[in-house]
Amino acid sequence: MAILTIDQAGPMCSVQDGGRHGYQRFGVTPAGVMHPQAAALCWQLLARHNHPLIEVSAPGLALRCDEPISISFVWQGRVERDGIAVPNRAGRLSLAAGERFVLHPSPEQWGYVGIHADFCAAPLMGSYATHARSELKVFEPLSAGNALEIEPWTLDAEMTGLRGLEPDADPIRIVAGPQIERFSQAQIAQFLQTEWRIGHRSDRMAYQLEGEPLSLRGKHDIISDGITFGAIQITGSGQPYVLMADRQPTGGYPKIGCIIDADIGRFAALPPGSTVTFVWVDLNEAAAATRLETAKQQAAMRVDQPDLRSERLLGLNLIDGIIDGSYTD
Amino acid sequence: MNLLRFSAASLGDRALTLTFAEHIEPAITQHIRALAPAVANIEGVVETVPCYAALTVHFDPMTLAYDALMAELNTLNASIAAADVAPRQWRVPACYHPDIAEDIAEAATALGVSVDALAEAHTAATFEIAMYGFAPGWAYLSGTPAALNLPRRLTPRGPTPADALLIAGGQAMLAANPMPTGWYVIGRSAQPSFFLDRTPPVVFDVGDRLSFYAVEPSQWQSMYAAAKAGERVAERVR
Repeated sequence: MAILTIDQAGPMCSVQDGGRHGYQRFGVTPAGVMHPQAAALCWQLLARHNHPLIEVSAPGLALRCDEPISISFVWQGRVERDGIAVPNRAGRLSLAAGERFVLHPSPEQWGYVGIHADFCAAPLMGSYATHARSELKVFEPLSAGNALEIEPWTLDAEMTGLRGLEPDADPIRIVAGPQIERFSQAQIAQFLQTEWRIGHRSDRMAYQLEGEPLSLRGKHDIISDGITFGAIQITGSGQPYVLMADRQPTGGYPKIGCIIDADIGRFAALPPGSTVTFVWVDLNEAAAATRLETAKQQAAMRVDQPDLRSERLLGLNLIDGIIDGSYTD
Repeated sequence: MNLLRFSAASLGDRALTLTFAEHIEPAITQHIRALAPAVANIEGVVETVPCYAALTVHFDPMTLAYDALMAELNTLNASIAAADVAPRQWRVPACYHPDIAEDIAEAATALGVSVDALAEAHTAATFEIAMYGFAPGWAYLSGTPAALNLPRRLTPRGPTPADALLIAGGQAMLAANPMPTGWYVIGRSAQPSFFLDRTPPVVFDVGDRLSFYAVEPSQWQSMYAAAKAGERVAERVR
């Protein structure tokens, strides 16, 4: 048995997997990863789908292990092993016993660290997902000083300089929601034309969209029905909320639309204060986008050309230089 | 049997919701409860969430296309009869004493009745679990008598005690796990109803009928302790 020690973690850092599915009809939230596309890449690097990952919030993470261990990571900020920078975005590294692994602040929300080890704790209702609000969790949300007992696997070959997920600033694609008829053409147009700002009160449960509120026709509440990851609810004040991984299974506000599965991670990555627009697609376009995901995941595993890599590292270092001012290591 | 019709709408590209009515009606809730398990058995369906007047179906679009799922749903909806599934019925001990039922005095005052009259109105009712939602093991109960119609609190109260009986907004709830709420705690069930280590995790399923009877605090304490240890103190009468 080995001990994995968390030396530093931002708020909302937790252990997550694909979610605790099959219990929503008993009121149980699936929870699970916030950025399914980044998590899928980390699972590829681990070569074990749905293995519990450390989900890292934008401020970053520092950890070490008292035995040699392999780790996989997907992270947009600067990455260091033993004080030396390694190419970021995605990779697989080995750490010597006690060697410090640091993820510096990221311009995007949510990255992942996959520990090449089994956790010495049984899953709860078939999952390691952490849902802090209802206390359904195997591990407490992670913070500095936590020590996790693990059984390391044999070391895997290192992979560095991977391309990772390509940045994509296109509008977020949505399909119509079950209560679309409650909104007028003008209100739908307003929703699609608005450049929404991600609110600072956004968390794993919901992202608040700030902008001119929508007006609603008739009663603003409905008889509660099912909700899903990416559903966009319009509350009584006309303010949209996008429901995220820690959403409740049911809700009583009308839903104007839902983000398609392929774009959930891209949306989840947006930090508070950034802006976003939405565009309608139909279910056929959503299915085509899902089929493209496999190709994107394969592309993310390719090793970049060295010249491109240094160019991008230079760019990221400039971004880090600004963010590092508020980060105390 | 009249065919109950629904309108279907996508809920993203991995779920859809069938809406049977824009109002609450026992026959519709019972039909949805009968339909849900059959839908859950369709290959490619991940899980179903039965609600008062709607059924949400989560599915994997790579295994099951939307159109194919809709065809199966139309067939199943026409073949399912709520009468095929006889509801289970339970008698459940509960305590309404203000020492245990934290908000009953406040709720009684707001309703303009005595604590005893409020407890009697609750024990006289036969409830049916219409749906779970909001939090693990939070059962929405239909069949709430008009005498229990109290608006929600203006600001939420702190976490409820475990296995609380709640009222607000003309509705009643059996709330297994502690959560902050705008509802009133008017009793506590002696039967814990949500167990993390059991399959299914709930004691009472959607569609089950519940009536409660009052026990004194000392009796409630011993029953609750026994039930926590694994004994079932709720009595199944049908």
